[in-house]
Amino acid sequence: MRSWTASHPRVYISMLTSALAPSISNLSLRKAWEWLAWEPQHRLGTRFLQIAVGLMLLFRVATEGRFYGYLWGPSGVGTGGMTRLFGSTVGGVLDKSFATSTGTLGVLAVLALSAILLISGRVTRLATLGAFLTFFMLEQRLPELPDGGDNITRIVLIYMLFLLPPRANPKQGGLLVWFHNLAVLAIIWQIVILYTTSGIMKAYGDKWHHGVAMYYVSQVEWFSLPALRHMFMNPFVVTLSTYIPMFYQLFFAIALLSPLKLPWLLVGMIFHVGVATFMGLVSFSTVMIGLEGFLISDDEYAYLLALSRGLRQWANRKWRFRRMPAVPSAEQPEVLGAEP
Amino acid sequence: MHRLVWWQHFRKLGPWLTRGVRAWSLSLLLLHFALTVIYVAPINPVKIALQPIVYGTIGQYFAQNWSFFAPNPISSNISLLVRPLDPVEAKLDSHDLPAGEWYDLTSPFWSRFQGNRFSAYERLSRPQANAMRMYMGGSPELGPWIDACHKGDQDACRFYEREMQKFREHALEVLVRIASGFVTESFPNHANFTHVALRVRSQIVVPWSQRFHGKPAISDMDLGIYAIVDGVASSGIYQHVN
Repeated sequence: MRSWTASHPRVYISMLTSALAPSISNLSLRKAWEWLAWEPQHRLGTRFLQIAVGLMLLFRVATEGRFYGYLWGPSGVGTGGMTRLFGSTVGGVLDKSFATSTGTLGVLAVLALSAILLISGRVTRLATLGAFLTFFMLEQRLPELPDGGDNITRIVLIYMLFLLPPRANPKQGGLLVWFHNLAVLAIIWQIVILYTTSGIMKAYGDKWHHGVAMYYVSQVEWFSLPALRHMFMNPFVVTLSTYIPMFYQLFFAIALLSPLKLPWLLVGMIFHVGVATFMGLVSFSTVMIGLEGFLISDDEYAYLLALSRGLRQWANRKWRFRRMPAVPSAEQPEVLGAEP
Repeated sequence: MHRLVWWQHFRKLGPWLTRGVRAWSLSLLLLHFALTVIYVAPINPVKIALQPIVYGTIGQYFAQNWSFFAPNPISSNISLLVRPLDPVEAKLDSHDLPAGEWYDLTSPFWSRFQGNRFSAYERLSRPQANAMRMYMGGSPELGPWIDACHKGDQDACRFYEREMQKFREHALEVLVRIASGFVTESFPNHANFTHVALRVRSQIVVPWSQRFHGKPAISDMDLGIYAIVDGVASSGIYQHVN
């Protein structure tokens, strides 16, 4: 058996093929059932997502926490509550948290603690429950505050409740594995729905259709950097920056089932780093990068790891060769000790 | 002995129970995502037919909106202007108010946010921005109703108006609280301010075709005069931001 760190490109190609093979061959019902029932899937992706969601929640608490009284407090801007959704008994009890400043601060403290636990990978199910409950309460308290990133986080946190903790070693084919894999499937479908819906909506929008949408976004104060406004007046820049995200979203589901999956996800991550930098949507981008990382299967992570090791070895060899002193040739013998 | 027999029966049932739980949970997941797809889909006959069940389940507990600058991206700067009023000024009509001493509560957030992406400025501007948009356009969920209204359905028109009224009342409640917090915070020594006048200023982005020489169109919409809500928490940012 050849080592994962073997340097020949064919090894990486065959690894990539075997990593991508399940996503294509699982289209048969029997294999799909086995995928769901037998082994827990996306364990590394799950950790990636937990860390990303934890970072996003921690960022929100760190930046908005000092305004807790103004945003959610007993006399703050937000006056909503959970009674609309959960009735006066359950909803009323939850809403009492916002009746005092201490209670409001307590909600944020639980959210921060849950985020830290998610990042560190400890008691992740309890942490997910704490994060979901407090996050949902804050959202209902001031529904005008959240953005799209919060929307997907709230939904994904529900599915994350069923994911296995990082160090869990459940019985093969057991119900714990089954529910973990159902949650994995739910998160994947939810991401596909997000991208496809957004792509379809863009496709029938006039400004997206005609390739000028990003010009308008770049000129609005809310989501722009003044230094970049002039750049988006260039026809090539604006057309490409409008069409690329639209086609990216439209073909997202197909790309996941194709050999382009990993490059597609990498482009998505780079795109969201750009969104965080230029549009300033840091929390949104963090969770979106987490979701893109979640979509990478364990086999694909193994492939990426092997590839990075191979690249590192290759770079080390190259670097070492460059640093090694030249071997003296017979025609020009080295003369030692001739320097003054 | 009796207990042993029961246990043997139960063990035989175990795999069937497991299969039952699996079939039930998978069916539930499929149903959930079928409803989700209908919920996020554009208006179509299935969505209209299943509206009560879709909005009663997904709309209530899994509400989601993935428009992300679509179908048409945001193309205007909307800012909230506030003018604190004393009891005499509060009796005037919105249009008769003096032109000066209006405070823009939104723009300072944007300029600060452009300087520091790792901050809460964008978030803090969201409640007012979203409330202003809600006041002017309601919610995306009202889309099918306004469409039907435009086609002459009087019931749809009445429903739309009723829902719009609710959205406007809620949006105004948020905006008045924001304005009240601002006045309390920025004018602690002006106890004679009893009311606030609210105004929405829209600055439309210059169209693409006129990008090099066009001037942005600015329009104001008065939302009226409202009594200051006592005791609204101050943010502690307006003195800093302004």
